[in-house]
Amino acid sequence: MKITEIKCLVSTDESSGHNLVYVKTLTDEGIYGVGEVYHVGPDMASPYWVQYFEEQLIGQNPMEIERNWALCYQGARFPIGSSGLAALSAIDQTLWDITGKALDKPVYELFGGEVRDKIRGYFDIHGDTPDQLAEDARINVAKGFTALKASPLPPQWRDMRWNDALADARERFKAVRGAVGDYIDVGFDAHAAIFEPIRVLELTDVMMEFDPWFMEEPIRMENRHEMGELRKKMPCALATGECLYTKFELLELIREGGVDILQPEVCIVGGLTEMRKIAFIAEAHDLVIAPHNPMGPLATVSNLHLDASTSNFLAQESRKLTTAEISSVTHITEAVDGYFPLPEGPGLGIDIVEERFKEFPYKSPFHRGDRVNPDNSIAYI
Amino acid sequence: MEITKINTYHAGDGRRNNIFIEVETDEGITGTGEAYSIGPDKSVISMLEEMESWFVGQDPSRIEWLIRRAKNTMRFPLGQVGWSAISAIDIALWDISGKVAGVPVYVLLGGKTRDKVRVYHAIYGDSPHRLAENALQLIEEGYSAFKTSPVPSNWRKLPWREVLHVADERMRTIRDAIGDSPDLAVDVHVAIRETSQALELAKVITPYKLMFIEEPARAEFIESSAELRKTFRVALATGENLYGVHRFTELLNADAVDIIQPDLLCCGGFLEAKKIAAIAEAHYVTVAPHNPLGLISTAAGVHHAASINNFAILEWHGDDKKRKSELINESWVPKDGYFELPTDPGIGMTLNHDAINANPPLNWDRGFASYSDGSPGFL
Repeated sequence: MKITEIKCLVSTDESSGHNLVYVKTLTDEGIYGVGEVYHVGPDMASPYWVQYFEEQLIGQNPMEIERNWALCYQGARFPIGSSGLAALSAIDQTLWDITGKALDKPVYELFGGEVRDKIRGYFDIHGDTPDQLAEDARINVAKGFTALKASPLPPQWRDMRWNDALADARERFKAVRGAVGDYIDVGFDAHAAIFEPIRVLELTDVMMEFDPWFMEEPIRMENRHEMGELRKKMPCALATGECLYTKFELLELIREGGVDILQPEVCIVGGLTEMRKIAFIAEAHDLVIAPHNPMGPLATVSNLHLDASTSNFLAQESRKLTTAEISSVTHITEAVDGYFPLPEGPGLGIDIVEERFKEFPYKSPFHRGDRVNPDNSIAYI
Repeated sequence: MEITKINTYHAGDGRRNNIFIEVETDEGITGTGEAYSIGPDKSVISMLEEMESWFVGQDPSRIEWLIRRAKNTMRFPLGQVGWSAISAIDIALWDISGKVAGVPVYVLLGGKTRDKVRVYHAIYGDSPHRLAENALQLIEEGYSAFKTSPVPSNWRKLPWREVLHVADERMRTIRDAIGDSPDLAVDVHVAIRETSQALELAKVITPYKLMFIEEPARAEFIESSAELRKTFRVALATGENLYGVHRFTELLNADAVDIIQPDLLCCGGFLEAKKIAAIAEAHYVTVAPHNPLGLISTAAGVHHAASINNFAILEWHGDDKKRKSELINESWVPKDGYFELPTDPGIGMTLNHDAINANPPLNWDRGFASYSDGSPGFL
C-alpha cells in the first residue's frame, strides 16, 4: 500500500471563531485515514505544512508509521513548532486509522488491546459568576459526570485587585461544591495565565478549603524548572503539559519534577505515536495521563483509542461540541453516565463529512483576542 | 478468541537450555514465545504453569491488560523468574495478534523503520590470535561488527596489572588483523565491581576505537555506571540485567548509559521493550538488544529492531550453525551482516517439536567464578 495524496480540509466554525482543520490521507488501495489538526490560530499555515509533509510521504507505505513520523520530523531539521507539529499530529492519526482499517482492527488493539471496559470522562464547565458556574456543574453531574473542570478565576480577574480575585475564586468553588457535593472531582485550569508562581500558591491555598482534584497549568509552560519548583510547594496535584511538544519536552517536564497529571494534546504533540511514547515515559515515572482535549469529535476519538489501551490513564477531557463540529463528522461519541464507551473500529472508527467543508469554507484565522492588564500592558491568555 | 492452554518446553541446545512456550487458542491459532534461561530454569517453567490459569479463557489481543494483571497480582517486584515468564507470554501473544491480522509483528508495533537489521557477531578464542582469526573468518562471511571479552577467561586469577597488559594485547592483535574499519565492541559482563578498575581497563582499550564497552559496572548499583560514563570517551552499553520500564528509566535518568541492551526474553517482551525504547529515544539513547539465547529471541529482536527508530545493532552468536537452530522449523541466516525482515504473519518462527523432544534439557549452570584467593567473583 502506498500513500497517494494527503489533503487538508479547513472550515471556519463561526459559532466559536475556531477553524476545523482536518487531514485525510489517501492510498492506492482505496483505504484512507482521517486526523485532526490543532487550531493554533494562524490556521492557514496548516495546509502548507500538510502539503510539505505530503511531498515527503507520497509513495511511502502508510503502515510504516514510526518511519513516516521520523521522515517528517527529522526532515524538518529545526524544531517544528506549533503549526508543523499540529499537521504532523493529524497525519500520524490518519496513518493509525489506515493501519487499523487495513488490518480490520480498532486502533487500540494495535496499541496492545483495551485495558478497560469504559473510559472515564471529565467535563469542562463554564460560568462568569459563581451561580452560573454552579448551575453548569449541576447540569453535568446530573448527566452522570463524576469529574469536572473549571476556570478558578472569573473572566475579568485581570482587572481586579488580586485579593478580590482570590475571594471570587473561593466563591466560585464554594458554589460548585454547594451544587454537586463533596464527592465530585473538580479540577481547575488557570490556563497558563498567571505569571508569578507565588500567586499560584496563594490561589491554590484558597481553593484547598473545597478540596480540588488538581490545579492545571497554573504558570507559563516555557520554564519547566519553575514548574518543578512550584510543584514542591503545591498542596494539590499539578496537571500540565498541553502546551509541550513531543516526548522530549514532556520528559524534561517530568525530570524537573513539574507534574503529577500529564495532559498532552494529541493534535499538537505529534499524534498518537508520540502520545503513546509520552504515556510510556509517564508510566515509568508512576505518573498518569489525562489527555487535553478542547478539540473536535475526531480528536476525541483518537484520544479514546489511547485511553482504552493505556494503563496509566486518569480521565479524558471533554466539552460541549458546537453544531459545526458535530456536522463535520459522521458521528460523535458521547459519555454515558460519565464514561465514554470504547471506540469502535476498524481504524479510528470515524469519518469526515467533506460536504461541510465545501459548504462552510475557511473565512479567517482564529484570533484569541487581546488580554491586557489595567495599565494596558499585555497579559497572558 | 480465547486462550485455551500454555505449553512449556525445555530443550538442550548442546551447550545450555532453551525454554519455549506455545499459547494455544480456541481458534487453532498458536503463539510461540521464549523465556530467558536463567539457570534454575525449572522455576521459570513452574511460574509459567502457575500463571497459565490467569490467561486461559481470556482474549489474547488484550496484551497490556493481561500482562499488567499478571504483574499486579504478584504484588512483589518481579525478579528474573517472573519477568522471564511474562516476557515469553507477551511474545507469544503478539505472535497470535500478528497471525490474526495476517502481518508480521513489527507491523503491529508501528511498522518497519528499516529494511534490514544489522547484527554484530560474537568472536571467540583462547588467545588474541584465535580471536583475530575468528574475526577475519567472519568478515569473509560478510559480518562487519564484532564483540568479545576484553580480558581472558582466567583474568580473575591474574594480578590486575597483568590483566590490563593482556587486554591491551588482545585488542591490539584484533585491530591489527581487521583494521580500524569494522565495528568492535567489548563485554566486561558485569564482572568488575570496582569502578576504579573499570576506568583503568577503559583507559587501556579505548584507543582501539570501540563501538561500545558493555556492562563495565555491576548492574545493581546504577550510580557506578553513571560515574563511569562521566569520564568515558567510549560508548557505555548496559541493560541486559534490567527488567521493565522502571529500572531502565532509573538508568536513563541517571545519565548512566549510551546504548541500552534490553533482552526481549526477560525485559518484559515486545510491549515493554517498545516502551523502554521510546523512553530511551527521549534520552537520545539507542537500543542494541541482548540476544544470547534461543532463536525465538532472535526473531523477537529482529521484530523489535524493525519497529523502533533508535535501534543500533542486534547481538548474534552465529546460531544458524549451532544445534539450537534445529529446535525451530525456519532457518534465519544473516546475509552480509544483516537479517532480512521476515514477512510471514506473527513472529514468523515456530518450534520443531520433534527436535525439542529429541533434545532433553542438560544439567547446566554457570559454574562459579573465584579470585586467586578463593573468594567468589562475578560471572
